[in-house]
Amino acid sequence: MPDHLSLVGADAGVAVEQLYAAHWRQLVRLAALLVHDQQAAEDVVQDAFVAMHGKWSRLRDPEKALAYLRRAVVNRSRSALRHRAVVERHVRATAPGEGTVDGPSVGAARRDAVRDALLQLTERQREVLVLRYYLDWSEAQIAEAIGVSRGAVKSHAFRGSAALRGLLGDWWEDLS
Amino acid sequence: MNDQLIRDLLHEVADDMEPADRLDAIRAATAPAGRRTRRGWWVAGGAGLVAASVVTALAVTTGGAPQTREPDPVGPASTAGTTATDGGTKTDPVAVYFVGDTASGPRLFSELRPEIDADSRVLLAIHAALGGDALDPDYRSPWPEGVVLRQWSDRPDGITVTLEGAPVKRPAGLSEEDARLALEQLVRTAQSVSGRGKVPVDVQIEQQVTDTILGVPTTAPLTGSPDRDVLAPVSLSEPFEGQVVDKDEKVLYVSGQGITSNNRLRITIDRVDGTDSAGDGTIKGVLRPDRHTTFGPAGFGLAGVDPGEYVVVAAVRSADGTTETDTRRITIVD
Repeated sequence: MPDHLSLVGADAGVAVEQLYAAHWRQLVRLAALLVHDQQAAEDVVQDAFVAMHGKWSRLRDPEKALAYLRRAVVNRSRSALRHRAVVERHVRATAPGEGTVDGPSVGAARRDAVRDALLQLTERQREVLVLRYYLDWSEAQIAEAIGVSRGAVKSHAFRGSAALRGLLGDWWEDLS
Repeated sequence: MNDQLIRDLLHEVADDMEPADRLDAIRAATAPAGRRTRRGWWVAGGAGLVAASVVTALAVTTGGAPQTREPDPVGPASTAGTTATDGGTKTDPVAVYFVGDTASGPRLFSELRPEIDADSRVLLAIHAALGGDALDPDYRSPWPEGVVLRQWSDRPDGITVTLEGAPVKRPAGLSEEDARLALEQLVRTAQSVSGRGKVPVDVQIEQQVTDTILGVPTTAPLTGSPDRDVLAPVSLSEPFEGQVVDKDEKVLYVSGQGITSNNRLRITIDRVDGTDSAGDGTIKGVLRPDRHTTFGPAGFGLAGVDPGEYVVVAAVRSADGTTETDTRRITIVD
């Protein structure tokens, strides 16, 4: 990326500042899709940046640093979810459709439904779907990032998509 | 469900969120050790050590009174984060955090202090938090008696709060939960005074190098736990406890923050003696089930409301079905 060319050889502080400016927002949004909580997502990405700063002397390259950040965010999001004392799995305990009446908009209720559905997927399904469809990563990139085979990525993607279809059936009808 | 639909849904969800700025916190966490905390300055030697000694000397010469002016022991400080100003000008309200009881145990409530003097902003807010000087009698502070603010430093890389009289270990009779909330209470109040979001807060005890305060680890600066772990499910910012509302103002505004399982927040305004109601409304779709968000100000018309003592109640429902509330007593006058 042209914005990062000046980072080659830069010190760690400069690297953090520039990578923050370019990628903070997207990385937090990535983490939020994985942990279902904005503050936890910000914590995860903040920690990833601090860790990247510590490893800059070995990374020394903006592309490697960005790859490191993304991988750190995925791994730390997984840890954050596992260690969360209370996971709200049932955001909407009421009947489907009630949120459309009470919520500020259909869009807001749909977003809540998607967040809730993501949390109900398995850890790997959620990671694969988010990396594939939010970051547009290839199967090979995902396989390397989360430490599974390409076949496993394909399988998680298929099963995750099917699970989402079931969980979001009502919204699927609304969108189509 | 096709690929493009999943892609659209994920982007819709992700793009709905606007991340808060954490660059200052990252800078603070990655700053060279000698600049990161006061603890670092003590052990640094050379110029850093001399500077730290100057800070201590300033504190001692105030005769024990808390020092609210910002010392500048190392390097230039940004003016953006400083709080002390000349003159007695009023500033934005400051949120002071206290501990109150909820159905899920003790949690933090924020109490907004209106029109606080710029000169005494730090002193009043931190002392209120430490001493439990809440306007609302339902709130308290777990800090032991006699703990006072001794030094305050608000720098670009974080806040340093130096206390006097704070125990290193958790005193007998103070639960672990209350000890943790005491530090959270102090950290969040300091962040509110600074007005720069969740910047790191280095809490220290004067003239001591310690790894814990009240038994809570404080080696690294604290930024505060996730809201859902420490904040009350609902907390009112306005009206203030004891606020006198003139009917000529025509509208009473209610605002605050909370989290709810069913997207609903109910606000009622009833006479203290239960004989009359001045308002009853449900706000739908503003509060969320997954994180704390702010609500209001919601306006309640005062036409036709009799003067008297009223209690404002904000109520939300938790995931387990429990109703959680926060209350304010107000007086409506002609």
